[in-house]
Amino acid sequence: MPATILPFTYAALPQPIYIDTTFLIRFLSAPNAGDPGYANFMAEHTDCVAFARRIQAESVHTFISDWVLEEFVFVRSRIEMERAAGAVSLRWMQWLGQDPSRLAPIVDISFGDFEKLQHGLGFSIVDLETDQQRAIRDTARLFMRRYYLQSRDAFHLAVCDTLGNRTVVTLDEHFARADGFSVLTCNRTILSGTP
Amino acid sequence: MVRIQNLWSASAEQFDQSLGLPSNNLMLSGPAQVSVLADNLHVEGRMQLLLGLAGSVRIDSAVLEDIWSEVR
Repeated sequence: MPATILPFTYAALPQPIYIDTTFLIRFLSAPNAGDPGYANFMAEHTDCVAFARRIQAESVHTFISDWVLEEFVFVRSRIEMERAAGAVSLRWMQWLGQDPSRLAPIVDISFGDFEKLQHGLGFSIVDLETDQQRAIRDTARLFMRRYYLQSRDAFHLAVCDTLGNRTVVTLDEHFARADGFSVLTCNRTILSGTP
Repeated sequence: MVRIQNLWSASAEQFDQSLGLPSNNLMLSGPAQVSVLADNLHVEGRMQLLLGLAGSVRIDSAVLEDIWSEVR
């Protein structure tokens, strides 16, 4: 059985809610004019902004783990590197290879955006105990096999499972395979039931 | 779960301090009033911060998908 799929407009939000990286990035980013994928990208972005406002207005309890932080910084940094490299017609690896110290201000931008998001949305970063980390590793392995998830997705769900939480806000279609979890989403493909 | 709940129960001021941000209620007085006003300021400040962040990063969807493909 798949996960229980809930739209962002779902009235009785379960709490707490684990925030996945896809939501944070979609909230933060919007498409360029002329982007062929503009319509869907902008629709999802707008939905994420509305849901972020709801999280705040209703004081919804949300949390993340270090795995979200790591993914966020990876994606946010790459966006910045792609942009800088593209401006001088280079690939990001070439651009960074010319001068590795170019990464320093990008680190500040990435962590700065993360901290602003944390303050704006009010989510907590869960502080895991050693025995919980051990359980998460075991559960992640189980979830990779059970739901055919990549390791990072499995670790997100394993954090939730170990802490007794089963609601995730995400735009990632892979989570829809996780039986026993509730997926809060604005992803049209997931909502249509054909991920 | 205990540790998460502890964080949630932290006051707005504690939350600000944990992030290295200045407290909202330094210029207010009276314990009860301070608490209410500080929370209101905190919510408004947070909302402004959120709306300022939303869509602040512009990128083509295809480039973003390429980046995600490396994450997964």
